Amino acid sequence: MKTIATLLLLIYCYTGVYSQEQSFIKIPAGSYEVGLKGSVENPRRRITIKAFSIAATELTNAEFERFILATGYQTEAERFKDALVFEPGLEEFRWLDDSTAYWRYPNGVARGGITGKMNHPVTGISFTDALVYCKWAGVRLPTLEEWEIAARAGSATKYFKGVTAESISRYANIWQGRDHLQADSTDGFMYTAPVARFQPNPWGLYDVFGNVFEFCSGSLPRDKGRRVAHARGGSWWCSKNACNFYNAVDIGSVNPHASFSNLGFRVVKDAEGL
Amino acid sequence: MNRAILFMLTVLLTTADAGRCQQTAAPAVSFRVQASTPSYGLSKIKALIDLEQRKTGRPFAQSPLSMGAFGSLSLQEKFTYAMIHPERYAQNCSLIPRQLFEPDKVFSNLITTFYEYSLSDRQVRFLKDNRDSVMTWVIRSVDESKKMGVNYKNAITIIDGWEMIPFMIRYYKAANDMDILTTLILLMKQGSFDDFLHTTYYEQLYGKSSNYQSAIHYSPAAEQFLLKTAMDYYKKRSTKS
Repeated sequence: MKTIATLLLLIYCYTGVYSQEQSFIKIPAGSYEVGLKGSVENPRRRITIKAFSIAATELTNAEFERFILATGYQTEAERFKDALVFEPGLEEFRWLDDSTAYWRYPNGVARGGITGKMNHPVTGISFTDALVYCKWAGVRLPTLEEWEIAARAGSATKYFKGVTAESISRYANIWQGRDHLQADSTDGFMYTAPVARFQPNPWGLYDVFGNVFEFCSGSLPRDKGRRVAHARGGSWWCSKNACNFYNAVDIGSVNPHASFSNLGFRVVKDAEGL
Repeated sequence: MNRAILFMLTVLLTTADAGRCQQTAAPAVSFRVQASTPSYGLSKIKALIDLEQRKTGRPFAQSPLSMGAFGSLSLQEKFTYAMIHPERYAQNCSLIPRQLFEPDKVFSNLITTFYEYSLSDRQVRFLKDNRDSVMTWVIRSVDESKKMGVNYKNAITIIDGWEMIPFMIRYYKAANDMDILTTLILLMKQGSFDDFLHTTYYEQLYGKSSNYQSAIHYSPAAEQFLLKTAMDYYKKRSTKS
């Protein structure tokens, strides 16, 4: 009897965690400073935005699975077998093609799936997939500037208050090795970490830096007419010596159909929709 | 009197510096982003790519030629293909951010050649397997166009084309393309050339606190040192081979 009760409690906790509704942080309307002095692509400026609410965490595998089960949607990686995956030993910025990879196996079947990782951010999805999810869930991606305002949490620097280049590993799941030739699990995770495992920013957003790059909507002058998706905040792959994009200034660019195991997203609701 | 002179000097220096900011913060030097387009088989390859994209119905997605179509290309056509149509998606942070004062800097790395794309394994393998021909085609194309695009420079580093060092130095002197210095540096780094590895330049570009965006300030002395060291490297490799 005691065993059954324990089992039921465990099942309750398990489903409780994975069916938990995402919590949202309200960002008030107002004038905010974005960009950084000296940045060519994201210069310091003041902008005015409407209020919005942004998810405290990146979208998890569990949440994405609910969408898949409800809709039967097949991601681009499943249809076109063109996802890119990582394993240690690759030169900087090199990834591997793996036709078996998609969100359930973000680094390919041979490198294991998401079993036991339902509270990790969903990856192995494209920008296009993320938009389909958003439409289904009645949410949207943050704009480039909304993301930055939420990530900086009022700080005037490239990090949120309390973070420096030296202390960032307390707040971000990043690659701490010198290069990617050897595996690095210094912080306990080589690939993604469960969402909210690291310390949040002062406004309560977790993993704005590191873990996965987060898709945003919007374009940049440098796109020059190309169809480009942008993602921000760095990822588990990013290191001090290679891509150090785990900050609130740098903005990445990726093909909107590309699926990588370090690309994910967090969602936004317009304030009037709350 | 002294204060007045000091004030005037301050105003002059401030104005000069502001002017410099406006001038150099403008869109960066074109050699960092411009690609070269080989002419050989160009229209045939463009038609094949177009056909492939229409077949997949994804004009903005990755669209590598099928094995059959790729296999049917001549070696030189494969080179043209690799230089204009990288087959693989590049990750989100591959595009190195532009910096202020780029004309005054010598960078540790070339800017990503193809924006959101990169060369696939078979394209890299092709370049490496045909390095002698690749060097010949690059030289011929540069001689014709008087331009060495970032894709050519990238190809030279992929194939470890140290034999091209004298050609690149001649081109550098004619074109003043500072990414040639970066390409020379990358070749010396790849070859672990001691005379370069044990310098402060190396430490600044690739040392412990460096990253992919690191750069050294351009100076005539740095330029002379890098050109001379690159030639020394070339001579050493030539002697060995």
